[in-house]
Amino acid sequence: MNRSTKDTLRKTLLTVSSLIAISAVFGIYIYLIKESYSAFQQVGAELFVSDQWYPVWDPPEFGMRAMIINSLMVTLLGSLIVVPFSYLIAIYLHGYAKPREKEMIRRIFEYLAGVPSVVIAFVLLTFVSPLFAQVGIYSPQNLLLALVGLFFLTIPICTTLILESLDSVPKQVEEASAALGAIEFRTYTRVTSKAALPGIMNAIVLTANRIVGETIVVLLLGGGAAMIPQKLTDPMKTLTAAIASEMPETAKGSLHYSSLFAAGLVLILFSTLFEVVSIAILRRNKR
Amino acid sequence: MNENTNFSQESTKRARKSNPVNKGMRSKVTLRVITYIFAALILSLFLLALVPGIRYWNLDFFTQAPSNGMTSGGIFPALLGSILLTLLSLAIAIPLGILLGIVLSEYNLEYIRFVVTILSGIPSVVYGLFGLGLFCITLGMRTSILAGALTLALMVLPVISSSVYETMHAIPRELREAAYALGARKSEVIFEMLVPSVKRSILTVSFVAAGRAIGETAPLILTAAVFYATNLPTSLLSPVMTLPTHLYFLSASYGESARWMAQGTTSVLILFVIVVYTIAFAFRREKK
Amino acid sequence: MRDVIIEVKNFNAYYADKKAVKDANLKIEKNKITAIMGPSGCGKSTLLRSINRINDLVPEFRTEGEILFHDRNIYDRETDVYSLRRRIGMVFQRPTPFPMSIFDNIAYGLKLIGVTEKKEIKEKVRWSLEKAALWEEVKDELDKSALKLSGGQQQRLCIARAIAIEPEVILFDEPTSALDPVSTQKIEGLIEELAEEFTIIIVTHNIGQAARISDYTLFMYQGEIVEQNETTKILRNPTHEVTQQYLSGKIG
Ligand SMILES: Nc1ncnc2c1ncn2[C@@H]1O[C@H](COP(=O)(O)OP(=O)(O)OP(=O)(O)O)[C@@H](O)[C@H]1O
Ligand SMILES: [Mg+2]
Repeated sequence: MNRSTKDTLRKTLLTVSSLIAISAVFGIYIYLIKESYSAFQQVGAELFVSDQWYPVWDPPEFGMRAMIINSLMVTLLGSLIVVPFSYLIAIYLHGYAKPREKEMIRRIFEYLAGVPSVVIAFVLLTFVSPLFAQVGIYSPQNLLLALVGLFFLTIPICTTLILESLDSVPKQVEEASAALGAIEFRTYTRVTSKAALPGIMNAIVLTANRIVGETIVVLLLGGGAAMIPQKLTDPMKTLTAAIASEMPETAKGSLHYSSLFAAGLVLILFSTLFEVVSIAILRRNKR
Repeated sequence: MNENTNFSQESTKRARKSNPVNKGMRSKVTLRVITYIFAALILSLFLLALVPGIRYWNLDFFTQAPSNGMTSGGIFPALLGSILLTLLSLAIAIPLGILLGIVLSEYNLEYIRFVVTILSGIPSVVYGLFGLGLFCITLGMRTSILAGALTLALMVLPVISSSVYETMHAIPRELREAAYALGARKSEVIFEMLVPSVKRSILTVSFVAAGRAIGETAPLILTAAVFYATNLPTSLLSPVMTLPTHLYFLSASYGESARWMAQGTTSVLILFVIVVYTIAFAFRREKK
Repeated sequence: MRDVIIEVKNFNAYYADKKAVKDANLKIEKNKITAIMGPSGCGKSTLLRSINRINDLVPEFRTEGEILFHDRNIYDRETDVYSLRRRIGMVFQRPTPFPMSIFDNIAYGLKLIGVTEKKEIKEKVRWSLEKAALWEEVKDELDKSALKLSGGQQQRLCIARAIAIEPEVILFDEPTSALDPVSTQKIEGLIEELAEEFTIIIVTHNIGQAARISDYTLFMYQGEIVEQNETTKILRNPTHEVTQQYLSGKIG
């Protein structure tokens, strides 16, 4: 092949790949809007202000407010649990662990990051869930169990991201603090963490995004009630869980089908929002 | 003299109250304990996933289809389905991901970076909805291997391209200039110098992507997988069983009687993950 | 001068609004070694990198005036920069081996000029490595990764890579400043030999180096060429004040 044909071919391939990425984002948005259109039209505002989600009753009810709140609540609680522990572990690995030790623990986390969520869910369902009955909790699958699952699911990504941002702080900054007589813990938590703050905030946002989109763990462990739980041991259902569990049994094109797409639209809005916040944090940090 | 003594006494007193050395040790030990507890919890999760299922492994388990309402037989169709789906989706996503990674790294296009970041954050179940709407329904692929593979490919695309971007971006500018100084065009610098030099990281990320693809459940429930397939797939348009969806269906709607099969499947999945990631890490280490 | 190969005429170079080279005028004689000297940041690299238009890759870089190569302005619109760069090779300050084998590093450039025949490539690889005084050291391990060579060997490999495609001019931007004295000595000897076949322009901070190898020297200060002459003359009696100060170590 001659040089300039090759050049043209390669440029074309690059253009095609960019076009695919761009049309994927637009395509996903357009599809979600298009398919949820009839739900908006026929159910209207009730979709978002009602807690009544009875899609297979006659007449059916499509109020997903409780599930939206559940998704957000799980995200908030999940992040609140996982972030502090991830932070402490990252501080240990960054400042105290010996290189080999750090490498090994990091490796464990990396392997965990690869474990499919259905496996985490199954293990907890088999080995932890039965314990609830023994202590007299009526629902063996509930918010608490889902949070435990989410903890295992997100602790690798959260810890790794925080560790990376701590590690990227220049050594001189820490030395300057140490030279003033600060003990290491103080240096790491006050000085290093401050310098790494954008990275840590980014880690939190991405962790939250991971939780809000997680499906199988909340579906298998959450217990599946489309109500707002009153306590940690109540069962609950999120938007993602509703989509994955109900869609396979739904007639394509029905109002139920369309409402589930509306749930998907809410989800993608959340995730886009999280990603935009993440981009903004990182960009401000660069300047 | 007097003053001096006072000073030193006071300073020892203060030092005793909060001896910085002790305090430093305390925080170190506390952090270490926390870290080790969680590392141990994670390891036990691995053991609980891997070990109890291994005893159900035998030839039949890997070569038979499930039978008698999941109380006997094996997981062959699910194994086959997972392998087919993973390979097919990677065959689509790897070349595309490399190209996209090149665009991210070598062309300063802010909006493409934005698009890829958004893609990387979209929940997998939403990819499933999209695949269901576009591939299964609009394009008439129904619930099929092809629809599932395309959906998975789209999902791992940002994973692959971001990683290609990062390694390629880290190549020093001087190296590019040296190639240009020989009279190379941009596309030649990219495809004949940069791509070969990130080969290893392309291999690494391919395995990482394989690990992702093989464990995905939600998008496959919507686009490719059925609870039980009477026949093995005959074409790309056949529905399939896969390991993760099989495990999901077993956990969601079967009780004790199918527990053994779920455990056996879990062990297979976790073994896959360990093998695939170990290979990926091995490639990465060699690079260092 | 008898045989002028490059002539720079009223040449200005800018990074955005910053003028890095001011009204440069000079002539480069064929098969001679011309050294460019001057304090840090005075625009030496900018001038050098303008001659093969490698600075086109720097965003916001622009030029005014002309650089004539064989009497044709390289900043003309018709100029094919890719073939220009093939005729004017370059070696950088830090060695830039591509992350491939020793052999492939050189074959890379050859393939760009359309050499596809295996035998010819092999011959050229050997020829250029011999010229770069590296052949004896690497002839048994041509498949080894170029990254595993020492710094001095890497730099000689980069020189071999540059000469393999037989340019007419080779630009050197402080080629030895990242190397140890022994490697430096080897490369200086090499550059002197290369001058028999190629025209050489070298940026250097090292006065001794300029004295040892160059025929002409031009001296830059704050973007301007303040003095140019035969090296021996400049070093013996610099006419310009800043040159005197630089040579006596007062600025630099
Ligand atoms: N990429 C760039 N963008 C903006 N300004 C630049 C860039 N490269 C160089 N400059 C500026 O142009 C001026 C000349 O730089 P140049 O690199 O040509 O100097 P030099 O003489 O080679 O210095 P040195 O001896 O340190 O290599 C300097 O003031 C420098 O700050
Ligand atoms: Mg310079």
